[in-house]
Amino acid sequence: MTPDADPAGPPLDCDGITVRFGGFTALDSVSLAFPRGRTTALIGPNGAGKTTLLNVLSGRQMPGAGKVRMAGRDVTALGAAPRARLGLARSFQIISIFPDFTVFENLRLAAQRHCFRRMPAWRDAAGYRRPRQLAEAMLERIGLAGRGADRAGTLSHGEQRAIEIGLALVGDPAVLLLDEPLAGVGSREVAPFMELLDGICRVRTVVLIEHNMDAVMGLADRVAVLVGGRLLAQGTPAQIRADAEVRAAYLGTGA
Amino acid sequence: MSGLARQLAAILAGGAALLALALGVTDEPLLYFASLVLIWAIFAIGFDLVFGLTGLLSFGHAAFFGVGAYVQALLTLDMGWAFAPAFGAALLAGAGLAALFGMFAIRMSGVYLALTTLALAQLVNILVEVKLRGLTGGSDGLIGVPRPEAFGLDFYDSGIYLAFLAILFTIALAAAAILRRSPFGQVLQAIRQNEVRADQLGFDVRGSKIAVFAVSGLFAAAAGALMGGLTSFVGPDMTGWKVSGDVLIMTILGGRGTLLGPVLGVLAFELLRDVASAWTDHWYGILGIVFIAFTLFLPEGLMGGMRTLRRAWRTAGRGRPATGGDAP
Amino acid sequence: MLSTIVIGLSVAMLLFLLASGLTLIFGMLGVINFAHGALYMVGAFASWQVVAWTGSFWLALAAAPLLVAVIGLAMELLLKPLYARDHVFQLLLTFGGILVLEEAVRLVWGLDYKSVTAPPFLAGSVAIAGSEIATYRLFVIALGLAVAAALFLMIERTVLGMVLRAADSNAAMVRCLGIRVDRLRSFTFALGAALAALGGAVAAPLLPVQIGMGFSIIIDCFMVVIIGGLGNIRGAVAAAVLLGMVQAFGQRYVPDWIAVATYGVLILVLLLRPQGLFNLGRERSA
Repeated sequence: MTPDADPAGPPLDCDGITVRFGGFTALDSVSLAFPRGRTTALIGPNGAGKTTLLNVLSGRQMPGAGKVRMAGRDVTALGAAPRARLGLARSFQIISIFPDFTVFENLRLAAQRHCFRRMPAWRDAAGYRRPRQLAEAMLERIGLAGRGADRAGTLSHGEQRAIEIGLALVGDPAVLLLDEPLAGVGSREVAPFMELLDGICRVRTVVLIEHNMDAVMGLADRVAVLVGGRLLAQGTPAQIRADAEVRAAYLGTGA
Repeated sequence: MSGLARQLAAILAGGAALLALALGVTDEPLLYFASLVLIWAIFAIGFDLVFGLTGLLSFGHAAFFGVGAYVQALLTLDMGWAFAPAFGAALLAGAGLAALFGMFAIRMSGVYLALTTLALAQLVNILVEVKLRGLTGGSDGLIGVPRPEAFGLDFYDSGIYLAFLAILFTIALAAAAILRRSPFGQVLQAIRQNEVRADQLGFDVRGSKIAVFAVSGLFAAAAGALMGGLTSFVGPDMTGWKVSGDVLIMTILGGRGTLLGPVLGVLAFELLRDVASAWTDHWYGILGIVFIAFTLFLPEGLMGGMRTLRRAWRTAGRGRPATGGDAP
Repeated sequence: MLSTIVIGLSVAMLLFLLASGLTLIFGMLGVINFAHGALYMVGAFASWQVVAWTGSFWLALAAAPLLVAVIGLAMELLLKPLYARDHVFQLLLTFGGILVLEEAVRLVWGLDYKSVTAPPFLAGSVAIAGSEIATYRLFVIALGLAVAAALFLMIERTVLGMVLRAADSNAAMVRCLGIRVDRLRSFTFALGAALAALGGAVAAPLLPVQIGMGFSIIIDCFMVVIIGGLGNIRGAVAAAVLLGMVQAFGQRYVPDWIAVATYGVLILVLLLRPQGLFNLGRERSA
């Protein structure tokens, strides 16, 4: 575990997480700390429990045992919404946006949660400046500046992926969980996406699930390997790449 | 002018037109018809906030409608309250009961929510008709429900009562317009489209559902109380499943999830009822057929149909395919 | 005591006849058929009519389900375009079905109560263990058990049943195997409707045959289906017996509170069962 300069504790960490679905153990006593400002990649074969772990971290799944902490504070009992209000954001592996809203409305919605404690019900949403500015800025950032007025459901897969990330980013979260952000992104679109992700990963605490090894090696400061629900190894990308056990279990010896 | 400002201007204009109608026309059946339409419209506008906007299927809204009617009637008839405070109490009762129903909406959705709200409303129906019959008059209901007395106006004049309804309807429609466009309204629509993501983004999905149920219950109770005043009668059928079904049909007919859809739907429904019942005793069956036809061919209702026509018109005019992305 | 038990069991079997149809339709098509009670009502009226024309109760018992099966086919035909859409519309369509069916019954038979008397062979009572037990109720129990057994056999032991079960969990795959899923769906709906009508025909000698009869029994029916598990025939039997007993004993000892208790139990069950098990968003690969 990386020693951390944070007196309160790392922005996100989990301890002894176990999740069982009936007779099947999805996660077995997984403990990980995610240091501030660093990007940790979670890799491992399909079914290793990576998304389950992300669900536990984001509040979507209650663990059977173990704790999740944000800046030292025990958030295990909190659901996804309270954790989001504490500064945690997450993108989904299968695109999960608001298809009937326009791209702009999607982003403005996410911005609203960031701008208001209680949602006002007596004025046109368009009348509030700050959510609008945040949404417009994010539109630029994700490269969809011209598509703001289009219904999100009509966009291409790659464009929807951008919205997916934009939704998570617009609140300027301290901790960002990205579940296969490049899934389904065509090879032509990968480069701009990588740039976007690179910018994101530099300045906040990120947990990243990805199968694209180039992305992982390029973006991650640390890599944690999950196999069969257990933490197999963790270390720098170079260390992991060289680890014989990891290669046998996942990377393959050709790497 | 922003979109909302334009809507509000149109609503005010409409309200003014209704007022003129109310004070100018003397044909009793027409005044009665218009009153009925406005009352049901208030009910449907509130219902659509839950059903069309937030995507929660409630089969129990009759409970709020009926409770509003009974509270209004009991307070004014038995306790001698003036109309306004009784009306306020009726609104609170409706909102409170609806908030209770809303708590069930947190735990379930789809058919389960529909069944639960139906069962809850049936419970209310039994309470009203049987268990509390000493208070409510049981199956006989309560007669002689009074209308307001204020400003020296004779509310028993149909035109005056209609004018009163027109004002309340305008307020209700304007409130709904504002709510739908507000940040809170955006959250409700988000819940309808993707509840999991809304939750993940940090929105209080549970609280929002309860809140929208409460608002919807307020509208329903208002409608119930006003109905009691119109017919000077309240009865247990006002809490029955047919009422819940009717408001649902009206909303679908007009176009759920739109501001004017519920209003149009009420108008269409009442017109259909008037026309068909003059013609046959079995107009309810005809309504059933119309309803089935709408679910099959025009699921977005009359508003949806008009939108399609408008788009087709525009396409024909321009001579090339229209792009997507029309704001509803 | 014994007579109360027999009453309970006969009510249970009646509920089961209805619930089995509903649960089949849900299991196969993912539709809660709101019009199920109306189909039951049509079955009851139809059987009255057949008895009025021919005097034969047995003919009624055979004809009513057949007639209503046809109605079921018609309904399923209307439902077909809605499978791809939001489930709400299926609910709404079946709700519209109630209106049409009730009005149709009113059109044909008017507003009066009808009553059907059981055939002389089944009328009267038998003395068992010192209690007078209505013979007809014993018949209802026997019929219900026979239908349960037949359904069970069909679903678990025949090829048709196997295909039904397969299509239930993965319609697309079944279609790839060359089986006409749409025909299966029509068959299931027709069968479900026929069961409802059989329930109506069987109920006719026991309960007043009137327009509202569908609604009063449908709530109990929903309860059986939900407690028993949507799509689960065995569960439906168990839940029906439970409910039948509660109704019979309740009627005997605390008749004033039965309706309230019924709705209350339904609400409780809907609240306590984990939503995941009964979510309509079950895998519907069609």
